[in-house]
Amino acid sequence: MQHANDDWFVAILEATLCLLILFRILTSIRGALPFIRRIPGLNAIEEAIGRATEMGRPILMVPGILGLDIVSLQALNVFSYVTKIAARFSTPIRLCVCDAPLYAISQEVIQDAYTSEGKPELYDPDSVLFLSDQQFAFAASVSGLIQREQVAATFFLGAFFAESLIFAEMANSVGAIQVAGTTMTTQTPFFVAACDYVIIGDEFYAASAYLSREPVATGSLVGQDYGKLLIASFIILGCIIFSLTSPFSKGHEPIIYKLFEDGGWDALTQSLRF
Amino acid sequence: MNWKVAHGIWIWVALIGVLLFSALFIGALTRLPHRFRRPLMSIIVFLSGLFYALEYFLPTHLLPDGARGNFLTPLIPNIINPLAQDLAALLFGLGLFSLLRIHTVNVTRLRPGWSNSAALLISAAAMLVFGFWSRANLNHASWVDQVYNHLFDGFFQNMDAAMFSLIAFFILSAAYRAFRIRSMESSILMASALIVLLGLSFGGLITGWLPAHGMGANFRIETWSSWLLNIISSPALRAIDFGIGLGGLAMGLRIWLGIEKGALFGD
Repeated sequence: MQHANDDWFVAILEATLCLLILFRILTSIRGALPFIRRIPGLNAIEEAIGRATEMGRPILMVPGILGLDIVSLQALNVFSYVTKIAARFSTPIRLCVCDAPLYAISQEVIQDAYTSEGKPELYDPDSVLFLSDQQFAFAASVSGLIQREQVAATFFLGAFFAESLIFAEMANSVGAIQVAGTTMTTQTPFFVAACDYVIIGDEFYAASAYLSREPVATGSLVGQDYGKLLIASFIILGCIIFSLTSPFSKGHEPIIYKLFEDGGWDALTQSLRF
Repeated sequence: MNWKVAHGIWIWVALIGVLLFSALFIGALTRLPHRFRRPLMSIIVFLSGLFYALEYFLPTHLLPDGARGNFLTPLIPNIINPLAQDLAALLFGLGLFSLLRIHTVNVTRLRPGWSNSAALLISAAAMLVFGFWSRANLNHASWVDQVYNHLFDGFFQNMDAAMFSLIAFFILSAAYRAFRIRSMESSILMASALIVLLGLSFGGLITGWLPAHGMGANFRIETWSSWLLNIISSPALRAIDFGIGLGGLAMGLRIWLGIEKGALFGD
């Protein structure tokens, strides 16, 4: 287990990041709503649902293959939005999950989405499927479902591993429009290669703010940007300190030492001459 | 905290007691009016998060088991992890029930693809029976173990590997589409991929005659390949990871403090 007094720098940095995020949430609630740039992957959600509606074929959603965590909850947020739009047009959906606790929560979320759209009768308990908790058994089940039901649109959002390409290529083979996003950076290239729209990196967490424009989510998004600025400034500072305290070349003292010697600047300019 | 292992009749008493308590508790939760669910969930989430925050920030000392921690640390392996495992097992039962219900209905109503459902039910039943039989500490015949090993090592593992190996073919078809030169971006992607592939494979044969050190080394394909991987690709991936980490932190904070809106926490 890690603790704050193992590394106080990390603990203070984490606390600072949390405070920055909370500060921006508070200012957003008070009315300072920030601008959010266009995210093509999230704009494509309605296009994908529209296509599935026109074709009369189902929409497939997969919230990754890990268990109940922040990533899958964020995926469910997006899927709830997708289900609400699908409910308006009575487009069938399939939500495949790989984890039993997530399955229970997914059922609740999807049922709530239909109820909030005033169409609780459209909710089909069999549309939320627990297929398997084994990685490739799950991959085989989802692939089979894509082929059998000839899904028209797919949403792969969450934590994916080796099965990401199997899903994406299988959906591509049936001509489905695909929106994908993962927090696993090693899998992002596979989605980029095989899917129509890809949500990259922290755009995945921006989805709630982008879709709802709700002050807490948008404020939090700007707080994250402040955090990125803080981390970037640490990186730049680290580069400068490292450059000054490292030997310029083999056998030479670090540049910073030269500055504190008699005639330091002269010696420094001498050492920089080839 | 030291748990005592129940013996004899007390195992059954404890088992029935826990089942009854769980049934009553879950029954009470399902009957809870909708407007009380969100506050209840927020309180539970906040207390759970507060536990981990305190456990992380409170000063630590040497514990009797030799690890470093504070007074909250031993509660994680002794109480929280077993509770989480019990909950996961309970919910796994729910998932299994759903799976069996859907496929049983498929078979009994002879829906399209019912044979697949039948295969799943038969496989699940076979693994369940022979798995428990093989693992149970009984004087069973050795053929039970053999059947179980055939099912697990002979069927399951091989089918798993077969599914995994499909990725090799899918990589080829995805790469073909991604690397078609249609725009500036795909041209850069294609050129970069070519350099990295050559650098990791035949690069040495092509530019191996160039000196390994000095100015000439800059023209070796291996140098370009490692430059692309270490100077271009790795920092980009790290930057994306920073963004993902911060996004997770922000969402975790919103959920912990009960200010998250959305699917699960109410609009």
